[in-house]
Amino acid sequence: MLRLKLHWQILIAIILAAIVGHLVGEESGFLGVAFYDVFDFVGTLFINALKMLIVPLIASSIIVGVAGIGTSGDLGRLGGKTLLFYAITTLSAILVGLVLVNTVQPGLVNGEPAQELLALSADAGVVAAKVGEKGAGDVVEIFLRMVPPNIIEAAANGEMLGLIFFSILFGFFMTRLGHETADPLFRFWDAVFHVMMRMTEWVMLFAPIGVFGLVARTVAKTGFDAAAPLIVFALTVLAALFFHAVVTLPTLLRIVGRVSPLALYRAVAPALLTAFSTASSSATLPITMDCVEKKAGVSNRISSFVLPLGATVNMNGTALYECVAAMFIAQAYGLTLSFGVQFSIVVIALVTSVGVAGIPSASLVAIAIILSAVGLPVEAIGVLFVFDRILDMARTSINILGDACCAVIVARLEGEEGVLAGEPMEETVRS
Amino acid sequence: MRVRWRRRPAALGPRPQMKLLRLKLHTQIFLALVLAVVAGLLTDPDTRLLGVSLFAAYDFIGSMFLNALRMLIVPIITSSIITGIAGIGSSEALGRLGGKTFAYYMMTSFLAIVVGILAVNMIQPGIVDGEPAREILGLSAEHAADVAEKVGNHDASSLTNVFLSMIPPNIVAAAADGQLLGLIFFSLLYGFYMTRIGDEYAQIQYKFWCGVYEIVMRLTELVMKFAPIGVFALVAKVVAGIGQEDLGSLVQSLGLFFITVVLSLSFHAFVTLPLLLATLGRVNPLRHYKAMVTALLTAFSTASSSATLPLTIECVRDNAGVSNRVSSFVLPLGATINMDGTALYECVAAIFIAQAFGLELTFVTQFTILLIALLTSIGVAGIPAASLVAITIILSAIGLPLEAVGVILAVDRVLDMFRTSVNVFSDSCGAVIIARSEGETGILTETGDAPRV
Repeated sequence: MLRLKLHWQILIAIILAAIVGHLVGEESGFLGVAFYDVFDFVGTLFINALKMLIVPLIASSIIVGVAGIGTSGDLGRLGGKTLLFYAITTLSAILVGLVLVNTVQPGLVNGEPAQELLALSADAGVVAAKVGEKGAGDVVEIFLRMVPPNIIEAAANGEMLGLIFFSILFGFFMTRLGHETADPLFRFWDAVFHVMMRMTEWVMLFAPIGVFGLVARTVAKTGFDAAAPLIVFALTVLAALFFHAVVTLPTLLRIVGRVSPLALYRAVAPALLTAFSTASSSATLPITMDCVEKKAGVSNRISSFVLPLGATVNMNGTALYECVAAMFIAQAYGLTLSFGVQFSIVVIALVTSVGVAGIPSASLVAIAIILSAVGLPVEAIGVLFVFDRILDMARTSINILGDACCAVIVARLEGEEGVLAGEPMEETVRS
Repeated sequence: MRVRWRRRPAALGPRPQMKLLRLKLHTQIFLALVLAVVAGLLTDPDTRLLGVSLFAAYDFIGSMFLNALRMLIVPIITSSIITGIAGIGSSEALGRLGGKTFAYYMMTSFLAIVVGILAVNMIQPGIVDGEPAREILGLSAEHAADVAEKVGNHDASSLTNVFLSMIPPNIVAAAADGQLLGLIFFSLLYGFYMTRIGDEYAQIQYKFWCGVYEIVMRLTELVMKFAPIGVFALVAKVVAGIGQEDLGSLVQSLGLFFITVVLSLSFHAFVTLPLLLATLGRVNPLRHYKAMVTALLTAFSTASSSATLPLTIECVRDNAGVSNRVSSFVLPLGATINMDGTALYECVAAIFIAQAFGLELTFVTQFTILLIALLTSIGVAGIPAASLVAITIILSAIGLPLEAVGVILAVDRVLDMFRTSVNVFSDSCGAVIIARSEGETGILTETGDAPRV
């Protein structure tokens, strides 16, 4: 019964939900129970379950992630360079997304917030107050928020920035302990992370039902009008991803790596196509390594360090998408997010991409994290689901491309010769 | 076949005690109760000693004791449920047998709780002469209004909200706010998925949580050492507050409560369980009583399931004729997770206190009580003075104040003896029914009885 892949199940659920929601409308019911309430209940239950996982997931994944990077300290310079480039590419991706979403404003339809159209039920005023409270008016506030006076309270209030910062520190100083104390601690958190991953997988089994509830609720309330802003949103994301792939990354390759971007595209094309069709960085990893080593000519020493790390840490496309999505929801509520709030979105997207990567359906969980960190209602996830799969395919390809670029650039900085010179040319000649 | 839950301590070994405290805890509590009634009668809310109001002193000590109990709730719930579930989950090798046992235990606990809830709603021991008994339990009226509001907050206005509160949006916030249903559900999931990760990870997690559990158990023991003092203060406060004239109604109300519990326990032991034996097990219930009589008497006199366990196994195996395979799996598991009598008692006690406050508990709140009693019974069983801790958990889960716990303790010891017997009896019924469903023959037949003759 359930042998269909999850994303197909979700797709079917969305289609069914659209049909059912359209037929049922907001009023009708059965035995005195309004269908709308049932959809609402199912959707809320699913969203709650996702939210429930956030705090332990964030804490454990970041602690384990940071401690994992920290312990490979013997790679020193190489590790530093890699991380630096990952941070740069991710940051530039996020910025591209932010600029574009602020220009296109997919959350506004005819100059009006699309809240009604998307059936986002939370009261805009309440949301605005919450965002104001969490999102911080100015940048100083954000730094204050990063160091919360009480870490348990921060966790209880869902102040992700503080929790993330604390987890990074904890993970870092865990590696600075003697082995005797650090090892059990690392294994403990690693195990917590594994348990949380299993729980996430379990929750995701219910994704088709949850998505059905969320989408059916939206359609029952507004009909198909919701589709218009969503299409604009999807196009915005695609445009931003495209810009990142054909402008930002090539520029970096040219300037820092001094290699031909076109040669790189040609070399990693198989990996990109695999990433696009599987929507999974880790499943693509073997192919990426093959392409980067054999076709781009990067040494195994570098590719075997940079690429696996990138598959877990570097998520250009995902970070970009998260930002655009959060901004889209905020726009739909008619909120003008201050520079401070947007900055905190950037920081959270950047930092969570370090930890959250290995999680199944990472993007969904990550968006839940960002939305609740900024104070936006997580219920909005439902509408984002509609185009999630297609965008996920595009995102993953960009992630892989970002990884490959970093591998090439780091290799060049390490003084490797013959990267993207010669070999790929020969291949084209041969073919 | 690794049965990891065995490593979870069922009871802590004896440790050296101070000579002075060599009286058993329940005897100490009983003495404290008697002293408290005397002291309470001698003082009234205005009595002062050296300028300190004695009433305030009782209040202070009592609150301190209750706070200490409350402090332990979150770690107890989390660690006991995680280790309990992980223990059951990892003994998966036993597969079908484990599933059946678990289903049976859940079913009997559920039935017991339903009986208790019905009985307490019919008898209404918390209402004296048509009035809520809050006055005589020393609970003030405006306090009651606060409580009503608090229960209203905790209480879900509809059944859907109960389910929504089972899945809290933020687990740390749920723990901080004492939303135990969410915490229990999360712990259940966590414990279950702990057994589903690689062995290397599972081991360290299991050891960690077992360590937490043991530490919390020791802490609970420490707190319970102060139980006589705490109980003294709680009861003295009540008695001092109501004065001599109302003492009669207090006794009457408690008596009714006592009768309610005993009645519903007997119903469970003499109607529900025999029916199950006859229908599911197709054996003669009377023979089973006869086979179990030694174990039941021991359980009654010791009030401890785990102390009775060896005898229970002996009775079930030798007198009832259940195979060693079934009895050695079902009974130890039952001693830690199956507590029909205790679950029943917890529910009756919680509703009794609510009645005394003059609260109309909705169906949904009562359903919540049922759910929590059922779910906590998986983990909390091994804890010393389990009933007291469990009642604390239930009361705070639905938002009732804990002050009334002191009063209930007056009849706790005797009820504990009844409860334990019912627990043990239900375990043994489980062993027989499961053995029958596994196709064993010769159970509770004439030959099965032979060794006793």
